Amino acid sequence: MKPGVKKYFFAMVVALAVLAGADARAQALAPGLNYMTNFSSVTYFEPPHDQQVKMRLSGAKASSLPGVLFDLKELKVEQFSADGKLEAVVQAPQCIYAPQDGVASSAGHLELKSGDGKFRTDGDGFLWQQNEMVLVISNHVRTVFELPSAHPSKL
Amino acid sequence: MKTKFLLWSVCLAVAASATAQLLLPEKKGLPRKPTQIDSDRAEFDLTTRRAIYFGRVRVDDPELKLQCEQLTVDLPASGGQPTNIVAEVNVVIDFADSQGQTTRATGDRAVYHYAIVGAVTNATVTLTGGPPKVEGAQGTLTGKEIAIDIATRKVSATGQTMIFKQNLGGTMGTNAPGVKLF
Repeated sequence: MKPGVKKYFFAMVVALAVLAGADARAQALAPGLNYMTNFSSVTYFEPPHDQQVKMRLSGAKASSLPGVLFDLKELKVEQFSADGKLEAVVQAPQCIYAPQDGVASSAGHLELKSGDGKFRTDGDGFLWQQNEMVLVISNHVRTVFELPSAHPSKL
Repeated sequence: MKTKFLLWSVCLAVAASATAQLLLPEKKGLPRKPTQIDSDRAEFDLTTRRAIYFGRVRVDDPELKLQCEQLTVDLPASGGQPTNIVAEVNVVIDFADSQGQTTRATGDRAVYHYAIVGAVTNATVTLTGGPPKVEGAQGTLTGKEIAIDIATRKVSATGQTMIFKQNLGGTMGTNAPGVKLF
């Protein structure tokens, strides 16, 4: 699979699985409204690191909504560096995902932390722009840094 | 009562190129606690590793407390210490030591820069706008630009006005013994 195709792998998997019922985990919820459980998908870096996972997205449940939207439950997004190191993890109990726009949003809670756990932030209400890799948290933002105690100077 | 303790006197206003210094409260070797940032809203760019906080921003750090309306934090790719932090609009920074002595720095903009050059750690906060002001037990320093060296706890300014704060022990006078300001 070419990287350009892989980049939108998740969107296609969700769309195809949910809309066409192709995934074995996808089940009919009601006419025109399907869902699947315990889904996951990955995107890869561009060459020359096209064998390395750039982002893994997983969730407990994805339900289709009108307008090619998906209601995701227990969302988890993991971002990796080109050498495979975990850089960041984003978790949210619920969000609405628009694969065509690469946008996820919710009025609910969200947590973001660095791979080593020394940078953590959370808040309520968010907008995730997948293509730009930009996350906006709208309310009650709290960030905690854990810095090494050996440093003589910190802000 | 008015003369019991404090007398504020404007002592000098010198050329813009001159530099004055005062000392922040000394740091103590306390265990490092996490730094916490609270705000109304925030944007995180995972590509540039930049976080921007908006609205009632409050930073609670073991060495200082900061308030402003916008805070931009650049995180290095390797993680760890932020290398560049910019606080904007109504910036108030309170430095405190273990005795509770506080030095307050204010301005429109504060730029924190951190770098390790060789074996030397450079960490500075540069205040501009407002005009910037640093007020402590020793006195008050204002100027066009005020630089705070976090490592040495020294404060310097260009185009400054220095206001000395003197404990006269119940007397007033303009020729009282000088405070340790420079």
